[in-house]
Amino acid sequence: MKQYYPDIMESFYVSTLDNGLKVYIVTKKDTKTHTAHLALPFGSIDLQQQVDDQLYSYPAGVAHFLEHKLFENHRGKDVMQLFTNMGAQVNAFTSHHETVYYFKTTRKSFQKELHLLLDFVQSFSITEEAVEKEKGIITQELQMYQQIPEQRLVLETYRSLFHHHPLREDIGGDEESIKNITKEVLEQCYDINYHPSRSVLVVVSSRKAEDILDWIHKNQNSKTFTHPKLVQRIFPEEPPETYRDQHAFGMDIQNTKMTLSYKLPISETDNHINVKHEWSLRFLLDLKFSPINSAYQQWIKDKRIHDYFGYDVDVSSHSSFVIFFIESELEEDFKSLVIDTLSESIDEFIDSIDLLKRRYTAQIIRSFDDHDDYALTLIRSDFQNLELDALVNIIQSIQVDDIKQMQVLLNTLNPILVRMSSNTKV
Amino acid sequence: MCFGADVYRIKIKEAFIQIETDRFKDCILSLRYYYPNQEPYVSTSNLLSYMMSDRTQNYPSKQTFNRRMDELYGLYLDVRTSSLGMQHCLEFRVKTLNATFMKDIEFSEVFDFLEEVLLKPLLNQEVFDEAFINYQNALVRMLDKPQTVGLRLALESFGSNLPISTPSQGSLDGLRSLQLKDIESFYTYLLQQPNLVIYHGQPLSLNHKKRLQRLIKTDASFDRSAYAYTTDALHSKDLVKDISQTTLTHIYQTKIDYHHPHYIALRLMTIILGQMPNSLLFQEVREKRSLCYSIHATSLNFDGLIIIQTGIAQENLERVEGLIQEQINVLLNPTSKKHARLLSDAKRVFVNSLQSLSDDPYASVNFVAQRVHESAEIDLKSIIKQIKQTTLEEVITCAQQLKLISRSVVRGQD
Repeated sequence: MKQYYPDIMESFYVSTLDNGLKVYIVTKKDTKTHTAHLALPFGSIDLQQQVDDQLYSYPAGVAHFLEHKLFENHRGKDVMQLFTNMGAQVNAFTSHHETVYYFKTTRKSFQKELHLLLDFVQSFSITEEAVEKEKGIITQELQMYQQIPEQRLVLETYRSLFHHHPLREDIGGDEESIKNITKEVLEQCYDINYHPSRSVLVVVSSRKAEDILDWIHKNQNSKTFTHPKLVQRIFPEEPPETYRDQHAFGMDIQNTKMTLSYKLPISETDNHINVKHEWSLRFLLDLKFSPINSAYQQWIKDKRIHDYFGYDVDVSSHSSFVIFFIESELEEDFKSLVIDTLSESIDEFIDSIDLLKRRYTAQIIRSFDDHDDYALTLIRSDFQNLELDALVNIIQSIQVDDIKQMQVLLNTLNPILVRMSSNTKV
Repeated sequence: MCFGADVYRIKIKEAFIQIETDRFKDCILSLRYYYPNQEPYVSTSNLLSYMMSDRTQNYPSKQTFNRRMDELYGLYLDVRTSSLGMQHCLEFRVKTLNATFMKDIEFSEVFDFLEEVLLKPLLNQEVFDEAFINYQNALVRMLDKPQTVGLRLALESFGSNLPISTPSQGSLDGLRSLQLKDIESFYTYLLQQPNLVIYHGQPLSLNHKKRLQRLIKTDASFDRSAYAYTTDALHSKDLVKDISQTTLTHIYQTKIDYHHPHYIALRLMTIILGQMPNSLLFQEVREKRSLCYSIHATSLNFDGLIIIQTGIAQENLERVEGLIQEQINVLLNPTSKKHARLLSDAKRVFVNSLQSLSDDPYASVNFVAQRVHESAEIDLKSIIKQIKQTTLEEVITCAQQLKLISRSVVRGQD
């Protein structure tokens, strides 16, 4: 079935196979690069799942570990080597919400590559020896990320916001949790989460969609799958208050960095509402804490901020927060800058709202030029039950009152502060 | 001239390059100025880049400057520097939606904005002071990253005032002595330097082409910037930080520069060594022995050097250095079947990356800019033919030129 979105001038084919695999095919005329992304809604936050009537718990980092092991051994051969033999690049990543496997090739007849992607992700066999070997690699990966100051700061911020939420865990887990990942745990996670009915495949190519769909059908029809399970994400009970008001730690860095964060009680099951809340917050923060606000230049002049100052927002069905970050020693001044500015009226910025809509809409439109961005947008929209143009439409619909509503909310909450200093200055 | 999928026409007139296509929603305008890769130019140009991307004479506040970009549908401006061997480059890059999507904006207004940024920067003390702090903090932050520190240590060990040991982003020492008058002088100097103007996007009107052509410095000519750095000594540096992982960096000279007949063979050798999943380093250090997560070989194309870098546990340092040397020995002593296979894979990877250039506007612009600047072949068909014709003997010849000339270790405290 072809779907067309005139506002963003994009169209694609979408089809659901008998086994439940959801397929999106985007035709990009004249592209030399053909890409395919196969995604599962199994990420680092999936540490507990309700599967039919049973509750399962996993060690932190299991989704990421499983992603590593899928490449290990497909019918006795190295998956990466198989793709390289065909001149294609293959890779994968695990985020908080999903795991995605993908390849890129310039070979127009990429049926074999597509089949290989489906085959290696849809089959899994592993030995205990292979599991133990991978622990060494993943340990080095974790240590590499631990040395990145911004990653440490964000992780410690999550640990300060949340009592029990899985965001407290690094995507890759930690050295202790990795020790608890066994062959049996990986096989169990795979059986539960890697069924085609939980998968989304996005192909971006200049080839005819009918050809590609035909390839996919041929591949899937040759396989049998177990009965799909009903899988639900389970999150531990999380109290509305933050875990701690303040936290400080040291790293080998030159300048102190801080975050000031708000934990928001606005998560809904309907992701349209979550998207609206998130973008209302983005409007609010851009209106008040960017150069749109003439005070921004004064803050710089007064050395209260410099270009390492910003913010981020995330609103989802399971967690919602706003994080401000800064490179500064002045803790109290950082707090007062954020809190005082949030409390001031936004009326003087109302005429900038339409300009922001223009900026955001342009960013969304241009993202469809990139195969990876396009594929991820389709994947995430699908997993969140959103239409492709939902974001643009929601952004256009946001009014002043929506933004003010978020401002009122933030002004009722107490933020928490996390400080990362040079080891000698903690 | 053909490029990529034959759906592009590249037109080059003097230093004005048009890559015409209507495939993308964005258009890119890139103006690049070239000058010697040495201080004080490098740090001065970096500081200037901060100032020129902040405000202009007609948009003298951040508020008005950013507002104008929002009016132009979130126009994206980046002013950045890069090193190309003996030359340094300051690039002004504007990315804008193509005219189809900008309902109430004339495309000329985008050109107006670019000219405003380029020709009417606001170079005053306030902007200078602010840019100085931002740039200084950015340089200091680089010291937080073990990989960056490791690479810098290895390169700086060659001595000061060399292109290779001058960081592309400049240095704190270079920055500290700068004053506003230095920026003003450099800006005037910059506009007299040779430049390239590149446009990627929908076909331009004659009027727009003329406006871009007027920005070209027609009486300046390029110096070719590529060379191959060599030295007789082996330099070694060690640094201790409070970190859990050790970063090892090796630098090798090759005596092969960008224009050398074996340049493509050298690129293929680097891919075989450490740029694909079945590369020698990835397989032997990571996959077979689990000694690292990341290990890669990179070529500094304009300096004729190869860099190998990895993050490992301290106790495995000697073992990993031994394994790296073993893989270079393997390159020198091929067992024909395996090497033929690796070379074949490397060719496919290289060809694939070139064929997919046309799908990435930034990559296209960068590729064309580098090739035109160096007066190198730009026809992809011809380059791909050279890749396919490269022999294993040529690759081995490149491996024979490898000589370790610098090594740095950034390690954790015991």
